[in-house]
Amino acid sequence: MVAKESTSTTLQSLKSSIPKLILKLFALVTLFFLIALASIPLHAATQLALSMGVIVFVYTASSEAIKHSKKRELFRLFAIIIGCLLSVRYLIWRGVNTLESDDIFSLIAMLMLFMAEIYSGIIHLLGCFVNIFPLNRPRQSIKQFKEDQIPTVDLVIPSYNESEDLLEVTIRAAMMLDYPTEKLKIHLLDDGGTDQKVFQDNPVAAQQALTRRQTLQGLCQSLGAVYHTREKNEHAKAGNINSALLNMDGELVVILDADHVPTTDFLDRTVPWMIKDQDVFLVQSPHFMDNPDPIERNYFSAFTRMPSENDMFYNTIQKGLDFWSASFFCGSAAVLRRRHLDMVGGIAGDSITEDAETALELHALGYKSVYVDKPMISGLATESFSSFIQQRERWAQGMAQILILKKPFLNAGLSWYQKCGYMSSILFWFFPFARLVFLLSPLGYLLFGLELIHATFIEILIYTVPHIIVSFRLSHVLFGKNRWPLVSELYEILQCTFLFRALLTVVKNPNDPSFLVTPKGEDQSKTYISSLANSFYWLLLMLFIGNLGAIYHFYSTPESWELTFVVFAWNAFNFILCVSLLDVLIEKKQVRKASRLPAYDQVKIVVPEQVWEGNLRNLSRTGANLSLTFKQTLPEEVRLIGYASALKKRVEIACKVMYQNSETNEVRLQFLTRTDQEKNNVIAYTLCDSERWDSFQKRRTRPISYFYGLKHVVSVSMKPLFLHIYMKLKQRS
Amino acid sequence: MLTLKSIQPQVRLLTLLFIAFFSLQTQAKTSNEFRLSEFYGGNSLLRLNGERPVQDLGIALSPLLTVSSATLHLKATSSIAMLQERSILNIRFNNVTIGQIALNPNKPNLLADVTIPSELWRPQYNTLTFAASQYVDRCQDTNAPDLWSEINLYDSHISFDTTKVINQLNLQQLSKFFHPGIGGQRNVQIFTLDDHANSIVNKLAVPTVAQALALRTQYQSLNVEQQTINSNAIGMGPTDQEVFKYRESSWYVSGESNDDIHILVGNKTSLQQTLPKESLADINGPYLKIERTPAVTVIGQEPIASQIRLIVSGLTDQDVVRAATTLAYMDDILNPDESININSASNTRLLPQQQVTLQPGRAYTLSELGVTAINFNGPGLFTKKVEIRLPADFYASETDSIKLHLDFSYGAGYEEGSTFNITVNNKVIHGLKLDIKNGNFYHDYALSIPARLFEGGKNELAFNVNQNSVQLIGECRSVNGDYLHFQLDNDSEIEIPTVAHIARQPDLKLMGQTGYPFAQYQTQNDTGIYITQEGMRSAALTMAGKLAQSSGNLIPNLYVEMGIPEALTDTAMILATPDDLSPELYGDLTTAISNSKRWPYRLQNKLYNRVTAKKNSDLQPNTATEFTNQQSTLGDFSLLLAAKNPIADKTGTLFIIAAETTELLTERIEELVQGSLWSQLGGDFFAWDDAKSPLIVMQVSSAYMLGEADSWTALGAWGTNHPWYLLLIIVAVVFMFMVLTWLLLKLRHQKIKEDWEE
Repeated sequence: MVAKESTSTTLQSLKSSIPKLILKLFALVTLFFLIALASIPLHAATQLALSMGVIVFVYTASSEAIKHSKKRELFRLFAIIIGCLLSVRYLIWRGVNTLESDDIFSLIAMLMLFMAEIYSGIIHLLGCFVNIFPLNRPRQSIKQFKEDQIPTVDLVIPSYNESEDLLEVTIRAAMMLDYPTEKLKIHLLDDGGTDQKVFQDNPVAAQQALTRRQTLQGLCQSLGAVYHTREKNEHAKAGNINSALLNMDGELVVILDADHVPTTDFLDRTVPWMIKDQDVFLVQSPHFMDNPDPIERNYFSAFTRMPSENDMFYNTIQKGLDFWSASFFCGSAAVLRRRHLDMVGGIAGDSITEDAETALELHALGYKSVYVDKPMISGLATESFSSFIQQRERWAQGMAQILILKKPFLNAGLSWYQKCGYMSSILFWFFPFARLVFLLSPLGYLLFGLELIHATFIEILIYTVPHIIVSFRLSHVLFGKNRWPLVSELYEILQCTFLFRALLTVVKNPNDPSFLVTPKGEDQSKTYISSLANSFYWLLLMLFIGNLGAIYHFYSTPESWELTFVVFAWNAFNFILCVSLLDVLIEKKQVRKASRLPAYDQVKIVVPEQVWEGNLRNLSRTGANLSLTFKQTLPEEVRLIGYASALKKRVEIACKVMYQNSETNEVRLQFLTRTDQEKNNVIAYTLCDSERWDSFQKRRTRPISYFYGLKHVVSVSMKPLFLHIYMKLKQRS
Repeated sequence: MLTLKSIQPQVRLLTLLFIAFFSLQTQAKTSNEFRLSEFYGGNSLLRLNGERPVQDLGIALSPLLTVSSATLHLKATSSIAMLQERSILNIRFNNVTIGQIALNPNKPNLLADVTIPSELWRPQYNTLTFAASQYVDRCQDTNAPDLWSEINLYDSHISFDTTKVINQLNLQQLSKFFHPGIGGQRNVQIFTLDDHANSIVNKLAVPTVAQALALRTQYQSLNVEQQTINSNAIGMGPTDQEVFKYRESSWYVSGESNDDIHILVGNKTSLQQTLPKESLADINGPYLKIERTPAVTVIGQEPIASQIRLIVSGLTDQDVVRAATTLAYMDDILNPDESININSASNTRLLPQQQVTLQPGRAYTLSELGVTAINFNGPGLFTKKVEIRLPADFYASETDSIKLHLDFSYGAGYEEGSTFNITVNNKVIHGLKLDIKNGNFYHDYALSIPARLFEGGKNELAFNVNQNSVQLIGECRSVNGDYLHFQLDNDSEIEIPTVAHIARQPDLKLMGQTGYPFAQYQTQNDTGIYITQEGMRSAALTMAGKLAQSSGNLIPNLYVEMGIPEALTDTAMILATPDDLSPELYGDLTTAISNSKRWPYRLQNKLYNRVTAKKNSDLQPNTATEFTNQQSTLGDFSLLLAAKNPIADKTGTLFIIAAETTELLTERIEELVQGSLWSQLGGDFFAWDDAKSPLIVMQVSSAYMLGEADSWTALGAWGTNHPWYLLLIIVAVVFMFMVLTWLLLKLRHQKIKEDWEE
């Protein structure tokens, strides 16, 4: 504590004594020297010594940074800077020395590969910059403010085609939010029951829309929420919200997707940031998914043990962006200030990622954003691979639209670091180009004899390999806990072909893409091969032929075996990744309606006149699995009593015993929700406790070694290939 | 009846022949014997593998020599699997078969004497060819492993009797005296008058003459001996007439006539006592004259023999320097006169080094490099090597590349395994399969070679073509492959990039190969060879000559000076005994040679190991970096050290050659300049005690860069030589940047915190 105070005092005095401008100037001059040093032409042996030296420094410093060293921030910073220096040197070398060929096709292949590397290099550097100092904000509560300071809130739940059950859970959870009742209004914005839908020409669809409208109106009335719909379905989600905003007057607007169930402390933790600084236009919180996405489910089968795909974004990148005042609106789980929204005409709608676009416009006006790193929303991830791709296509297209239409890099209202933050977030979505180049480039050499890089084997060893080693290490330092090795590569390969086509349509016509609602809660009752598998078959075939080409090269041009070996290793790596990814394309049967997450609560099982104790093993919104502390045969229906942190009291939930094992004392229960109170209790107990999400997330965020990641990929290996062949044959027969 | 009258014509003819025979200018007959290994660049075994191997040995012979008889004594071994009736070793001399030796499987070790007819000898260059026809079977695989024979070049030798014949003495003949071949002159005496030790003639003209002569011996060493003539000695003749005759002669040369040339250097005034008035009258400026001086006979005795001398003179000392410079630059073949007066010489466009190396930034065709069209015919492996001589301080960055634009073609019928490989300094830089059955033609076949594969000085660009004909399976089905034809046009071009001119120093190897830093590409500053004893002057001149040889041209401002001044030239060489060297000269150098010696431990240990170890594998590794100060002598060995010049205005390299005595120093330098030892120069610490191999070669001083380059390249060069320092600098700058960044980040963090703490 004393040390912290002294640091604070030192900084304070430093701030007053040394003008910040001089510090910046010195930093710029030093940066110039660093770049100059990175571009010094050196001979091979010296470069080798330099590369080895930098690798040693990066590993030593990063090891200290990962540990709980007192100076870990400094070690981390040192590792990042010196590692980036090596990467910059590599890119300079690539640009200056390795782009030379007399064959026009080779030159084109060379330039494509170089552009892909430049892209990856820029993304890497921007990633390092953005995440150089992730901001950890302290816990805030509205309890510290007087009642008149607490603003009124309109909580809106835009809906298009989601089921009543799904919406009911969200609305009930919203109703339980820990916030003054008179200052909170819940609004359901139904775009599935608009006049346009109700009066459409198709009588069946029109009837369905009308039924939906009436059902949801009834739901809202019974739960105390306000039902909104509108005349036409214009501008998708953004239009829906903007239309409803006309009928609201709250100071703050909270937007929740239909499947996003808030925990009770959501407003308690987010609204204070709005009260403290009137220039804050956004408080964003993470999206916590309580079910695995298709890749996690089909490939890793490690949802509870491995960091989720969006953990990297919400646990690290948004915190990094927050430091640079560039954390952006993610469409849901966020609080927005109405006054600021009105200044930009509501939620922006030029792109199909209205969230990021709105944040960009308000950042450009000089307003601030806050990111609260606490999972307080639990949502549903996409269930099938095709809906996963549909969702990612929308994100990629939307970000590309923002780049083309809004040109954030030229936006005078943004500071340079905000521009870097936005460009990092936007450019990331252009990975399909780089990934495809990295996948197909080896084939250029192996099948067509194209020269990919004008360099010797030794040069590749002393420039390329150290750059790769250092880049992996820095990724580990920055994201190691939240992103396991090779996971990014796997996700990128899976998406690249589809997203590349989607991006091309945006480049062709930036206004073309239209908003498509991501399907949630799909039926996964049987195992089948995804309809998107065909493009992977082609890709695999090409990579396989590439490997055959490598064998031919070894035989026909033994003098260039070193180069062939490098390209073959590269192609074989791609091949192994792609083969193992076939596993993802087998959509596995999902038995449970809701996925179960680990839980460790002590509970009581009550039957009339008897009470037993037990420990929860896992929990979902529909049921629980627990082990009793005593051997006991339970009746068909019991009541479970547990402490609901969300309500700060014990709750009773009626349960049906689905299974019990007298040997292990394991019991599986299904929650019975016959009354409103029972429904509320189940929702509060299972979905409204942020600590539950927090501990679950912390449980699975842990780093693993690169070799462990590689081992996992290799272990999946050829099995899915045979499974695909078997299933295809079975399908035909 | 045989009358006197009848035989008179015959007698007359015989008499004339007799007179003609004895009137030949030169009659000395010399016997020579050389090991064949002296004519072969490889090791001492010449292997002949395959069915029809052919190997050539070049034998250079001074054009002044005529061979009266020659015999080749051959020692060889052949495979015991040979077919006796068909296996033959043919020996050809200048493409004429002079011997055929059957390769007898029962007598695999053969000894043979083969007479080389004297009429086959050509002036200057001769070729001895070993061509074997090797058969182990009637039908055989041409690459069968038992098709071999080997000639022991070390134990084989060639002996011949030669006579030196000088038909007409003029300046055209000058190069012939110093021809690098057998019989060329390897020692020369230079005479000057009793002048001041550091006069311009002694300081500059004589070293220039030494260089001019050494350049004529090309790669062979030339020992130069300078003697000072005491002009008062001329008064020894009893009469004026005798004095006159005496003055015409080479009275200052002791010993008998041996048909070697000596040099007399001095200005017109100083030569008055040594030249006749007629000769003096001819000197009207820079002046060169070659002449045979008459013998002086006194009372039936010949105290002064007839000699051949070259006079390098002029009206002034500067004229003498100009004459010496002309001697270095002039093409002897264009000077059919005995003497020339030089009116003016213009040589300002290019510096000497720029004339002998390829110039960066220019493109050269192979014909400009002296290569005729390259044709390879028939099956087998063919190689054409092209010397690429680049500036010694050629410093290519990673980005520079040398471009080759080749025009070549090959005919039809090339089979599997036919390849065209290009190597640079024995590194393969490109390969091409010659696999188009109908042949192919390539125009402007462009290759980009990283320029850093080329070194400063001589580089070897080699075109290797392996030509395979069709291989037919079955008894006696073979194709000789004579139809295979590959051609590389000499219009093919090599393009040298513009590079920086800096070199890593100290580097004795670079000095040995290129004369650098005494001879530089971009500048030609004064460079001095400083001697501490007058007796070392000859050794200094020998070194000057060797440096010029290494650089391939005259080093114009190279002078020899007596004494070590307070400030040396940037590049300098000191010849001294340890007693003459002051400890102050060595400053921070790891090694010092004065009364007390400073040896690095590892050097000392190496030296100790070298002396005590029986074989190289006994040498112990040394890791010590400390040094000792001790009182000791150098014994019989001599040391050549190179280090950053501690007493120069600008950055330069100081070379120190030291031996225990002046005589020993002169002897060691004569050994050093011989090709066998000179080619082994390396590191910056070189010790030797004979002409065969060094005692020790080490790098003990820290490296630095010499030359002119933009600061960027210079920084890169420095980094290349000091990778760990560079790494430390990078780490330091990164650290500084990290601290600044950290402060800025903390300030920003502080500001953000203030926002929420308000």
